[in-house]
Amino acid sequence: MQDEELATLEADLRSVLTDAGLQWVLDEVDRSIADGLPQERILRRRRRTRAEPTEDDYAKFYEAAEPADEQDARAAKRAGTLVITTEPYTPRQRLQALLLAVRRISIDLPQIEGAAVAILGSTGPRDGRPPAHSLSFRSEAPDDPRDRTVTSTRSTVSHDLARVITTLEQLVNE
Amino acid sequence: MSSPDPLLTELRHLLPGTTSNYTAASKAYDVYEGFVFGLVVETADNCGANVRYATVQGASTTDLCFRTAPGQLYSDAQPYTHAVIEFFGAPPLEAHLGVRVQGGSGVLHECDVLVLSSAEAELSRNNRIAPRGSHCLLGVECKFYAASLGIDLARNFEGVHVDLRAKHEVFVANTDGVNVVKYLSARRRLLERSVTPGSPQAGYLKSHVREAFKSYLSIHAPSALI
Repeated sequence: MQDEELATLEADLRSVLTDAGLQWVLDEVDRSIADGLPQERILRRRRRTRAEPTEDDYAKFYEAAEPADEQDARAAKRAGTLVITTEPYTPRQRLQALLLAVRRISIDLPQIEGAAVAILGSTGPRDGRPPAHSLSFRSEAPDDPRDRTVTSTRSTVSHDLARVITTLEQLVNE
Repeated sequence: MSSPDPLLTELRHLLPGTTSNYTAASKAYDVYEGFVFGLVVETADNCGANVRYATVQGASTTDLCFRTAPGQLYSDAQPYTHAVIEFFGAPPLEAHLGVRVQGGSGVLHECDVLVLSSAEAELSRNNRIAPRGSHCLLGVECKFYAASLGIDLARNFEGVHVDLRAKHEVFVANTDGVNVVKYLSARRRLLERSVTPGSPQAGYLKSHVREAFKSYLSIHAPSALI
């Protein structure tokens, strides 16, 4: 996909998430995007010279280069010349981050909820623990909108969602 | 290249059915904390402890009620539930979800999953005071994030860790964050990321919980083998 197509898809995907009441997911992704992608660089002297840099030309003596490999990065870390920069997300990376967030909230989280219900509702390995009949979250205040009873939400919808998200990820990676 | 439009239409149709319970970040946090609480209970089971659930009034229950926001361990506003964990020959422990704990500085911190002795918990309930962090066995900070973890979460954990002084503390997340890993690793803090059902990392977290139980038993029941 070209950058223009990626931008259109991102806008459409954002609209889908907003309409589904998942603005908080977009907020989390946007925070990540604003942080950028951390990259390691090694600070090296730009040219060989015996003269020590002065306050005025200090910055000119050095340049930041990509580490050649892990060993190079480790050596730079020991020498105190490993530095960090951040790269902005590319349009493709922005969409990849969005789709990963959709996967986490629509596939991973229901699985986590199902696992919590399964673990707490089981009798344990020696049948010694009484299984929980219900699992609820309650605020100290009565009738709080956050109050809810948890049930296992595994269903065929998750399989359909997984297929849609996987296909979208493949499209974005083309 | 095929058009993504039919996929987006399908996504628009499917998404509300699955995510309607998670329209606020806090609801996702609740679910994740419940899952990690389950892993702690499961580890106690696997280590041979007798586990049961009890309300704040001390009655046994199988209807589990957890907090939607951190509260006092002694709060009886709802029949909040904790797990009672009994290892043979050792004083009982309790596992709580979302309670406030007093740090060394005298301020209260929030602990997503907390394991402490029943004696300290009883002291808290009887006197309506927060349990003391230095008297707690294990504190687990749980983070469910849809995107990568921000460095602020690690800084927060570090600050709480320094003040809380529980014997064991672990930072657990469903996702990843390069800066979080670097920051906490540099400070030798326990961190398990990508902890999801069935993942190897869920097993590693259970190993940390087992280590906490082992250290407790080494003092109170040295002959116990778990």
